[in-house]
Amino acid sequence: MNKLYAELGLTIIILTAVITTPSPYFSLTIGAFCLCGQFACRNRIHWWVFIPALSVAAASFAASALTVGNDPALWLFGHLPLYREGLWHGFTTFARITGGVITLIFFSGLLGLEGMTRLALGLPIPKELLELYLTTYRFITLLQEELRRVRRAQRLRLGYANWQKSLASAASLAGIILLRAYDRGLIQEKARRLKGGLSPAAVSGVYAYEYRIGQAMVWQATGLLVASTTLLL
Amino acid sequence: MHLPEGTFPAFQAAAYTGLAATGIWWGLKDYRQRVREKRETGTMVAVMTAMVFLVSLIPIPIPLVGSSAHPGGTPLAAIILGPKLVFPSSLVALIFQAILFGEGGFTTLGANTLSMAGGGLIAWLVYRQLNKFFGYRVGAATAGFIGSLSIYLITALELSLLPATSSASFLLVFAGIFAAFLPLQLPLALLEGAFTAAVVGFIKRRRPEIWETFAHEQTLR
Repeated sequence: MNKLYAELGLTIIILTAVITTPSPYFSLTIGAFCLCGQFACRNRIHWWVFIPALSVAAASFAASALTVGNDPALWLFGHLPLYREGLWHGFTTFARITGGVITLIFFSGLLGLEGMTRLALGLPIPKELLELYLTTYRFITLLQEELRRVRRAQRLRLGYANWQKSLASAASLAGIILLRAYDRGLIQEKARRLKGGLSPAAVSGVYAYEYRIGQAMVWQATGLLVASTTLLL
Repeated sequence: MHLPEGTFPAFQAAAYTGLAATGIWWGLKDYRQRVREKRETGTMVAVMTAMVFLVSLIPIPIPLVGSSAHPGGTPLAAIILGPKLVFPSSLVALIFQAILFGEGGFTTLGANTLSMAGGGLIAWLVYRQLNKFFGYRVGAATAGFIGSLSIYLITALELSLLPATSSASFLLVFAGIFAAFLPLQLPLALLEGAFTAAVVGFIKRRRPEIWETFAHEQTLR
């Protein structure tokens, strides 16, 4: 359990450093080390999770490069000037987003929901928020299950209907899904309470990620050290 | 919405986190009280949180803005649960999205919670006013539409407050960012309005007891 807190602490330090340091090289170095750590720790990640964040980072770079700056323009794209100051600002934003996102994905990929839940149970978080977190986790699966079932039913009934009918049907089916999930949730809640609720024992034991935390911390700490050195140089 | 990790410098991230924490504290106080009175409230809040999580899951990146568009789900949650519970609900949905899909981030959690819950709060205010004069259908549809757009209005405000976003004036930057959201968000907001009205109507007709239990007599106090 102490390893979990150490990992959380290190990640918080890295994320704080990424958003406070003005140097883009710092964020990129940390990001590179965390990316290597992904492979070394054999984290199961889906690469598509990087696409939205990277496209946002690229968009921020383009927006800054074309709008920030007062010095003489380096280049003109039609009426849009490209400034040196804007390029640097855009590069810094790009690096900060990329470094931050890779660190976050490395951390969450390492621990997964089980690890996060164990962490949350041990932290001084309001008990209501923890309860909501744990119940929502169960309801996401429940809602997905209902959604799959109802969508299949809708496709069978409305395969050839026009879009107005489909929209009206989709909205009422959304209502059905919510109500069915709520009813099933109430039953589950009763069953859970009869069994004695969720005790901390439900998430105790040794998990697979615990073996990888040490290795992950070595990668993160080395990344932090090398990035700090680039800052000093 | 879904501003990724590292978008804001430290002082802004801290300020948004502080503001969001106030809203969350407000929401948790209400949650505690309502769960004590009626145990089922906890279940309904969790269902709505799961709904917000699923509805706002598929982001469509918006070029040149540095963000993405998606339906919010919080306008519907606010109409059913009330304005206060939307804050913890948005927070939990965003935490799951950050952990499972790398959408959003921990340092932008405050800013993202503010825009999601802010949209819900505005939707609830609109619904409350319009419901009195035009009935629940018009109220819910308009609230869904305005609430969905408000999420992006708040995000545009947060992005335009970034230091050195541009050498142009604040208002121009703000209008520019919001305008960049519009081509994708306007149709999404229209759909969300129709969806909100239909779901509210469905619950009111089929299960009025649920409506009476959760949505009746919601106040800002």
